[in-house]
This record gives sequence, C-alpha cells and structure tokens, in this order.
Amino acid sequence: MAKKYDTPMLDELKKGAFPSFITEIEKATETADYAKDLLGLLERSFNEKKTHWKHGGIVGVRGYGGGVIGRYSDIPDEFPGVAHFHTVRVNQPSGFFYTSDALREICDIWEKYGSGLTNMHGSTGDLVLLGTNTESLEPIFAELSSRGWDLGGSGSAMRTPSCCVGQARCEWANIDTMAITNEITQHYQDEMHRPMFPYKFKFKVAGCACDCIASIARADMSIIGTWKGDIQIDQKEVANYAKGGMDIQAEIIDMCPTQCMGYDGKAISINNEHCNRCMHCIAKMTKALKPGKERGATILLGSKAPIVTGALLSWVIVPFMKMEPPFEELKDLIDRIWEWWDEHGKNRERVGELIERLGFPTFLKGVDLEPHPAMVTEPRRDPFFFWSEEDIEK
Amino acid sequence: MSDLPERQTDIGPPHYEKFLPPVIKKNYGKWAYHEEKSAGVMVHVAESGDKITTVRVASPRILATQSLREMSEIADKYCDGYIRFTTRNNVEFLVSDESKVDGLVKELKDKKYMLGGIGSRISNVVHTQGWVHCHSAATDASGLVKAIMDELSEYFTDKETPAKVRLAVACCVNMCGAVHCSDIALVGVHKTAPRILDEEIKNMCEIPSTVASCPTSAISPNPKEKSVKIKLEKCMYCGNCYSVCPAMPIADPKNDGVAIVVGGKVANLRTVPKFSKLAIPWIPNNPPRWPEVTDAVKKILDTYIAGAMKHERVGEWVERIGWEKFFDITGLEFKIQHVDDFTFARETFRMAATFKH
Amino acid sequence: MDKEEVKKAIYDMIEASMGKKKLKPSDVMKKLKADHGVERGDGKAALKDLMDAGTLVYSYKGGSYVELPPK
Repeated sequence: MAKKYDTPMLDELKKGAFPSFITEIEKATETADYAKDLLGLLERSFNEKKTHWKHGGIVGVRGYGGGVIGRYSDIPDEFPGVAHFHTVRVNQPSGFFYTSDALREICDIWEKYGSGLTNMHGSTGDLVLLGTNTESLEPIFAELSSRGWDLGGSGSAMRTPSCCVGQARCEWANIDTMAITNEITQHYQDEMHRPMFPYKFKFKVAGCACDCIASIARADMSIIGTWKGDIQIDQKEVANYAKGGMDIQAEIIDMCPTQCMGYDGKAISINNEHCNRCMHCIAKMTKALKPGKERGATILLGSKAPIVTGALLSWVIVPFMKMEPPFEELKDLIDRIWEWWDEHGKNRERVGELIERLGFPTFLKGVDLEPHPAMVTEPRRDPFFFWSEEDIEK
Repeated sequence: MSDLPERQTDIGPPHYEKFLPPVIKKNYGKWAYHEEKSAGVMVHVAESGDKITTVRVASPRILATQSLREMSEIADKYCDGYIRFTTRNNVEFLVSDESKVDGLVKELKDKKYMLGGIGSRISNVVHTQGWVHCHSAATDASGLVKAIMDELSEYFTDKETPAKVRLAVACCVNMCGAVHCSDIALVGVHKTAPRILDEEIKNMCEIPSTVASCPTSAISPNPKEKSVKIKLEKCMYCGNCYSVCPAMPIADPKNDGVAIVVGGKVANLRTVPKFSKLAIPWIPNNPPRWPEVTDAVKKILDTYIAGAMKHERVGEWVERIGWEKFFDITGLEFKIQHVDDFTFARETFRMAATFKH
Repeated sequence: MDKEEVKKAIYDMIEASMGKKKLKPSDVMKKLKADHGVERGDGKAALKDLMDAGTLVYSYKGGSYVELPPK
C-alpha cells in the first residue's frame, strides 16, 4: 500500500506484542480513503500533542435525535478525507453476541458507506462505526434498519443499555441480564431515539455483585442480580478444593467481610443471616458454593463520571426486586424516576446530581419509595431533619 | 440512491437469541461452574454436563472490517460462526465442539492473536477515543494503551497478579470509561484555563448555559463583549465549558498531560466498590510511547504484586497498608495536588491520630 | 388543539427561539402545556411528526436541543 503521509510516530506503535490500532487503521485504507487522511491527521496530533477534532453540530438521521455523533476536523483543507468523520452508534445485541454472518453484514455496509473502522464496542455498549460523511448517514441507516439493526442513543436521552454475559454463560447470574436489557431497550425506543430528558440516562445490568459490566460506576440505573436465602454448599466439592491445595481458612473464611463463615477442616458452615452477598466465597469456590434459591436484583441509582461536581457510585434505592418478564415493576419504577427527574432536573443534570441537590428523602417521596436501612451505610449524623405537615400536632 | 432499501425506525437491536450457540440456548441459566484452562481458555460446564469453551484474545478496540472478517472466518471454522465481545473489548471465540479447541488456539497463535486476559491477570484496557476521534482529548487513548500493554503483555498472556488488575485510560476528565473505578488508570488532564475567543463566542455560544456549565462559578458574563470572562484562580480545568461552548478551547499541548489514579474497583467482593484515587497528578504527554507513564504504571504494579495478599485488589492492598505507606514504598511524591479541595474533600481528611511513619 | 395546530405552535416557538436561548424538547413540552394546555403525549407526537418530516431537527451542544434545519 502506498502511503499518503509519512507517519514515523505511528509506525512506532505498530511494533510490540499487543495488537496495534495503527495496523487496524492502515488495513482500513484498503476499503476506503478516509483512513489515509486519518493516519495523517493522527500523526499530526502525535507531533503537536493536540487533538484535531471539533465539536459535532446538527447531524443525524431524519426523525432521530441520537445515534450519530457529528465530528469534523479542524484542519479540513489539509486532510480533506476526514473533514467529516461522523460516528454511527449501532445498538449492539444484548451480551455482545454475534454470528459471523451478522458481522459480515455490518462490514459490507460499512465498507460501502464508511471508513471501515469500528469500535467493538464503545464504552456505553454500542457497536461503533467510526467515521463517515454527512451524505452517507441516511443510506447507512436505510441499509442497517432494513436488515434489522437500529441506532443507539446519544444526547439527552436514554443511552443504549448494556449488560454482562449473564445466564448465557455464567453460573453466577442471578437474573437474566440479556432479557432485561433487551426489554428495556425495546420498550423505551422513543426515549432512546428522541431526546426528551434533562441529560443522558444509562442502564447497565449485571448478573451478580462481581459487576463485570461496571454498572455501579457507569450507569444512572444499575441493576445488580442477587439472592435471598442460604448459600448452597456442596461439601464434597469443598473437600476437593482443599485437596487441590486451596487454603480455605486464609483464602475464604478469613476474607469473608462479615466473618459469617467457618471451616473445621472438613466442611464449611455459613451463618447466612449475616452474609451480605459480596460474592467472594462463591467466586473463589464456584464448584462448591452457589447463591441462594430466591433470585432477584438490587436496584441502585445515580452513578456517573466526575463531570461536573465529582464522580458518584450508584446507591441502593430498591434492596430487592423480583425480575421476571415482562418486568413491569421495574418499568413502573423507571417511569416514576424519569417523571420526577424531568420535572425537577436542570439542563445537563444527571439524576444522581439532582438527588444530591434536592436530597435523597425528597427523591424517595417524589417517586414513592419507602425508606429502608439498606439504602444507607449509616443514618444521618446531624439533627437537621425535616417533618411533613401530618407529623405536626396542631 | 434510489436503490436503497426502505428504512425502518424504532425496531431496536436484533434479538440476542439469534446469535446464541445452540449449547448456550439449551443450557441458558443452567450453568454449573467454569474452569480456567489457561490465560486465554476457559470451559463452562452446565448442569446437564454440556460444555462450552471460550478462547479469549486481546483487541485494540479499533478494528478494521478486514479484521472482523478474519475473525468471522476463524469463527466459522471452529465455532460454527459464534463469536462475542466482552465489556473490556476482548474477543471471545465460543467453541461448542471440544475437539476443535486445540486447532483454534493454534490458528490464533499462528495469526499472532494475543490469547489471555482470563483470571487473576491484566485484562484488556477499557479506553476512550483520544486523538483518533475526540474533540476534548487531553491525551491519546489508544496510543497509551498500546504503549502500556506492550510493556505488560506477559501479565495478559501468562503471569498472574494477586487479583484481577483492571486498567483504564480516559483521554479527558469526562472519563468515557470506568477510569474512576479502576485498579490503575490514566486520565488526560489540563493544567491551564480555557481561552476566551470573544468574537466566536458571540456567534457560537449561549452565554447563560456557558456560565451555568462551570462547577466552580469561575465564569461570568462579559456584557461589553457579548462574551464571558473567567476568574482564573477558580478554574480547575475540567473543560465542561468547552463542551457547551466550542469557542473556549482548553487544549494546551505544553501543559496537557496524564494523571495516574489507583485503587478503584466496581466488584463488591470482600470490600465495597471504590473510587480510584490520585497517585500522580501530572506526567507530560510524550508520544508515541509515553515512557514516563509506562514506567510509573510498572512501578505501581510491581509494588502491588510484591506487597498484596492473594485475592487482594490494588485498592484493598493500599487500604490495608495505608495511603501514607503507599507513597512511601512506591517512592511517588506526595504533592499539594493530592490533598482534595473539591466536593467530597472533607471525607478524605485524616480524622485520627493513627497513621504510619 | 388538534395535531396540526400543536405542530404550528411548536414550529413558531422554535422559529422564535432561533438565535436566542435554544429550547430543549422538554422546554417545548412545558411551554406547550403552560401556553396552550397541550398534554405531553400530544406534544411529543406532534414533535415527532415535525422531526420525521425534517421540518425541525435535533441538535447537540452539551445537551439536545430543537432547531430549524440549517439552511
């Protein structure tokens, strides 16, 4: 392949053990010209230590307020091939499962109308098609949607929900993460494609407290699978772990955060009343220990990255919810939260930030949730609490 | 373009069931356990006794269609076409026929795929777009990931760490990745306030929303210029105003750089999820290989490996030994920037007389 | 108001906002309710029609807004 630009800095990153993104960009020069100028532009950024991309603007497909991120180079005359270089967010199938035919279908469309570069996947979960021009957006959407693919979310809308592998291939999944994710996605298509919220709203669904999808850190609503009842123990397998060299006392019993386990050299005992369901023992002794039989989810709300008043982790708003199709209780809760957020939220205010501003008790009353000790790590320290009219003796 | 098919709206993604291998469909929700066979191979066994083998390889996240086609061909050959991706951008080949695993592993190795990332190791690095595609990037993301993973590749393909080590890179403080809750993470930071392009602000920006975007109230209207002004001493360089108003560019190549944060996690195992905390406030951008950054990451990782107990994540290890000890044994300098003066600052002050000398 | 009237009200609102304070979709809904007593569902349906026809477009600048299409 004849190179359009010299890229000594980028060439350095083709060396080494880890797969190279530069090699990928070079491959993409074979199917379209975009990547040639992308290499030139990127080499410039590496030299100048500065990005050469500008904000988006009004760009998208007709009728939708999301799914396309406008991107323009700030030096279009020098690198005309990437003057427009918009991103198309394609809603991924739950769990990131594909068939080779499905991948080739995406490739065919993307080689015809775009740069040939993808992200598998973006941080929110979308299958990201990286770089095309404004004229190609409608054709791409027609090709994709006529074959059963749709765009994900962007802007002040529900963002593309995503989940861990769940019950498809994990023994720890307490809930059907893929079914929940698919149901939320399908049920709220309007909220995803036509931005109507104060700001973005993300869902992530994790099958257990291992949280492989990082829902507690990256989702406005974090749905985390859990259980009630006793952890199921197979003492024969416990013995096998010991035989296999595991130091059960040190690795399991002593590391239990609630000290609710015992081991007498033969069998494990658990004082389940004191178990906080952290998953450590189950994850380390997967053949011997299984979650309790009554399954459901803990619903947490509010996490976000530090912009703007500091990062938040989601916190408990529903200690335990049954999770069975068609997930009406969950959808009802979502509707109540969105309505409250829409009424009180300021522009660019995430739901977690709004709760911080107005107070968690105000939120609980606003969405009609009963307070529960599981919602806090400790009760308040200060004596400055509010009362309602009905609490006052007249 | 008259030959275009008819567009549909609001159909949502294809249903995942179309993409599940038959053995997964059959044993959905009925998996019994899994075993790690090697850094890149694990087997899940169902209650029925059925098995599925997963072979995991690294990916740079940016993939050309040619690579997707090659992976598809490999999946056709060994996996009946079934393939998936992980939340950390790894690629997983799903093998239902156990007899095909060795052939798959051999072909992947022959084709220079990097197998690994399973178990107590370093998995793929969650990261953002950086200079490849983002307007607010203070550093590159893919370049940093490549530089670091080339150095640490043996911890992906082979060597174990005391517990999982989750790395992340975000090219600015927007953190479109889980940087704020990772074991060791890099984030692009600015050190200088945005410039105010009065003429362009007049045309491009809305004054009230620009003023409102500032978390420290450093921005106020400048009616004379139909623009805004910044109280420099209040600005903490977050760039939120630039997101709202493109006429306030904050990029500053001499002063933009990389901060390193450590000790975050999202899993609830043993201890509660944790935020990452500041280890190094600023390292200059030094592309293409950012040697100062990779050295610092290695130093932190090596100190962790030497000091942590089995199953202990970076954050758990640091909390056990104490942050004062962390700075002591890593040799990292504790600077004024390490002392918090933002929203949650007071919770971080030591309200006790117990600490290590 | 029938749907066409709601559409007209939305269009006028957006036309008047151009070059001034940009309106978010939820601002439009709140204003429709306050000025004309239009329910949210009806407002959303009218806005969807306008968007589908390309009469109005969504824009993004640190948040989603409703605007006239660029000339």
